[in-house]
Amino acid sequence: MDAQQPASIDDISRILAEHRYVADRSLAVSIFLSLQLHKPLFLEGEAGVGKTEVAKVLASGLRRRLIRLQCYEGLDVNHAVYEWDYARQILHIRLAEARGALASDATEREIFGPEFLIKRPLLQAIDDSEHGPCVLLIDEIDRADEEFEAYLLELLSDYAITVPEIGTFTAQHPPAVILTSNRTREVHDALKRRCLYHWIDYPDLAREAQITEARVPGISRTLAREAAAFVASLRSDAFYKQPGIAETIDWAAALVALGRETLDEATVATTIGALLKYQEDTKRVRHDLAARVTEARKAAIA
Amino acid sequence: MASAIGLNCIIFGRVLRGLGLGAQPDRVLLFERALERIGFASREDVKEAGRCAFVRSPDERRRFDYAFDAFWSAAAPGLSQTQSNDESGESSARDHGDKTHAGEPAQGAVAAPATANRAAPESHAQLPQGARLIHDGDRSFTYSFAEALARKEFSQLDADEIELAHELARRPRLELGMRRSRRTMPGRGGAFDPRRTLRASLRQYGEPLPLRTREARLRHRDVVLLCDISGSMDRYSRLLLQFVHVMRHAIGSVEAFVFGTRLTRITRALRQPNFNEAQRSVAASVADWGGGTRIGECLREFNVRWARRVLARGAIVIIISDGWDRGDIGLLAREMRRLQRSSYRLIWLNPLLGAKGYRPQTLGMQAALPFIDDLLPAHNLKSLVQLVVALRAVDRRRPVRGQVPEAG
Repeated sequence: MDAQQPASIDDISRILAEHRYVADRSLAVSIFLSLQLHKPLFLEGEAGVGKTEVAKVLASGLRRRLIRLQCYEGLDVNHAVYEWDYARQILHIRLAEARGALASDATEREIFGPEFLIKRPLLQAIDDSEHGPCVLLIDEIDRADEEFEAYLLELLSDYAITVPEIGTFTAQHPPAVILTSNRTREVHDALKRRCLYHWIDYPDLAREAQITEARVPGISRTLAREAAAFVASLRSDAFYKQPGIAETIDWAAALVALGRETLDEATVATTIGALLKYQEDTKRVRHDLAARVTEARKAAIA
Repeated sequence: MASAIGLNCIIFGRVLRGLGLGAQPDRVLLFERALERIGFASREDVKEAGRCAFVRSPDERRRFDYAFDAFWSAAAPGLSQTQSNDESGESSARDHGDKTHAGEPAQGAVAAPATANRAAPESHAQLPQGARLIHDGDRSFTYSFAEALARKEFSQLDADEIELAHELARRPRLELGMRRSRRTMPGRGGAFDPRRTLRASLRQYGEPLPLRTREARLRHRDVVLLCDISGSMDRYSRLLLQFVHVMRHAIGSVEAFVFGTRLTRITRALRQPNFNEAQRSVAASVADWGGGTRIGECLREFNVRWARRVLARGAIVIIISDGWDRGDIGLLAREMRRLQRSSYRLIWLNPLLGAKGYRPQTLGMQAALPFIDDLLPAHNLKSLVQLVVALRAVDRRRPVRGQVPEAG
């Protein structure tokens, strides 16, 4: 059944590396356990540390379908789980009427049957009879409201969804579930209890340089290290919004596009908008930009 | 062997529970199952498996790491705590398994929480940042001495407080500002509700006559309380703390912080419904009762570390302080400006405001004033009840705010 199931933690590391995702050992352990124990993996971390990317890479690595549910406030059953095809239902009633049959219990049973059901992402992920197991990404769960979390409880503990009119759908092969959160709100403990928890931290300098090199084609090793060192120096200060790895990659790509082989103050000043997104922050960094650039170049060599 | 591992997991779970980590039996079981899958080849992997099972926030991760190291080294004292050698990880697990039968790990289980408790407040208060602040300038040194690091003992409730509790209990549920939720409910709104329309039509032989609609649900706005507990506020702090506690339990989503020379989140500590117990756990988690005040620094820390997490959905921010600030006034103004912009409404409660002839002329108050939407008195019991009334009047309308030119 689990032909593509990775057999060891090293397998996971290998899959991630093959898809240019540079992960530390602890993330690989978490993913491995999540797959082995059929428990959802709850990934938390600052914005732009590569939480969503884990699911994408995992899906292509395991050659599974990726089903993504982006959460937002007010997300409800109709958009996340299932919806009835109302137009067809009404049409069906009309047709029954045309045949001379009055709307009866039988008609009601018909129109609330599986053929009138529209499957939304969560039900698609559970009802795997057609496509086999998938990777289910429930992205930014903290953006959904508390009510929605409650819907997820049955799904995440039993991999089952109940549609009152039809019955319970149960997954034949539990999907690999990844939930991400940026912590704009605390997610309820009941939800976390059903998951394995993993906090993705900012990487250290060497790893960030490695990530940048893996993700930005054509970047020189020196520039990758310098960029990583510069971003690390920004993170050590209390800016309102610290740049994530995603920002580092964007910025490095910008530097490559400008044809730079190494950091210089003027280029950093013009491209700083790729890293810092608040006016107060950019204003602050301009004061000691020269020193930071010099320092970053030094740190890159060390 | 398997049963020894199981027993160890259970004991380890107890240690974690002693540290306030939610190591429920199902988590312990999960940890045990995880260990079966990954074995003991690498100590770091075992640790990560434990994190997966027991940890629910970065805060807890620090505590967990500490407990894990302590527990493992208590089991095999020869090992250094940071050692991540694969071989030693295995042997330590085995050693520990053997000792369980000898009845020794009780020592580890007792020792770990004791030491970890001492370390917990440090990790909670982010020592590196606090230390940096203290060394910022000469003057700040005096604060650190003024900072009463000794834990403050609370006395029992006095008469006023009991009266306040009764007063608040008599009144109907506290209603703060409401906001429209994106979630809808059946009602007279503009959104067509096909599901209920169809259901209703079945009763009419399939004639979709009564069109059903849905309307937006109203939700309480999140409330964030920032309460000054410095020396000058000492007289009020117990009363205010109770007010915060009442608020916390009357309105669902309230985040509470206290600040003096540093900012401490007390939301979790206030969770107990019994006020005396809540008080005790707040006292245990706060290090700077009755010390100096550095409002600017504390607000900055709030803006940088917490704003994104607790102000995401148009929250109302309530600051309770007398505005006596010994820190950088320019910083205070800057951070107030930012705080106002990221909150739906910024309310400042000043206990001095009730006193006759008082004008908000302290430097701190002057700097903060342009960014306050509502300045309310909070000097005695009567005005706290007034406050509840005032807070009830905060409605969906956004406060009118002018542009304040930036100084410097």
